[in-house]
Amino acid sequence: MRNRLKVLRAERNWSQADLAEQLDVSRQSVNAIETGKYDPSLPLAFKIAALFGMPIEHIFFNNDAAQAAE
Amino acid sequence: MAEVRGTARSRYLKRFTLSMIAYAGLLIASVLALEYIEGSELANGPWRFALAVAPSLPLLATIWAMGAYLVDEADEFKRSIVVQSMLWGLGLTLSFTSVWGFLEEFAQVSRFPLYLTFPVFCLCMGVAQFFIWRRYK
Repeated sequence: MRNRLKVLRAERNWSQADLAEQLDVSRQSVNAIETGKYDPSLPLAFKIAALFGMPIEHIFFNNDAAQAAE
Repeated sequence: MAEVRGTARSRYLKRFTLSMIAYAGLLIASVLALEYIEGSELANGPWRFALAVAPSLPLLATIWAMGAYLVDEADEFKRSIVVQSMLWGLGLTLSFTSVWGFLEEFAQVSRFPLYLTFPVFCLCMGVAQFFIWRRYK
């Protein structure tokens, strides 16, 4: 699954550690999610969406949808 | 909240260390006691069974501690790495013991001590965890 986490984080000038702290997860988790190597659970995805104040689908896309949009 | 995450791991390490100390102590005590009762009438009674099984009890505590860690760990990503490592460890251990079992049965290789199954699992799990972590770096 692709995501815009890195961009959203950069817009707010947050480090991975800052985001991890706000989400109450490890920095490694944020890194793995950002790089698309780990897909978060639905509760964590909702938490991320709530933190950025936007719907989940504005942050996460499945690979097919992302390719279709390109 | 970082303390909570640290606590799951530190609680596990504490439980692991305590059970390993208990294991070492009970193993030495059991071996000495079994040597002591050898030749006496106690050697064939229930004491023999109790002494033989005693060192395994802390290992059961270790297995429980591994399960408790999964329940305690609040970070789902870390939990998923440990679960994946456990599955790899389980698969490798089952493969090893299955192959060895047939070798014992049909090729007369020496008998594999069953009490080493858990250490083999831990070793396989540890190696798997190293490679799984690397995949996410």
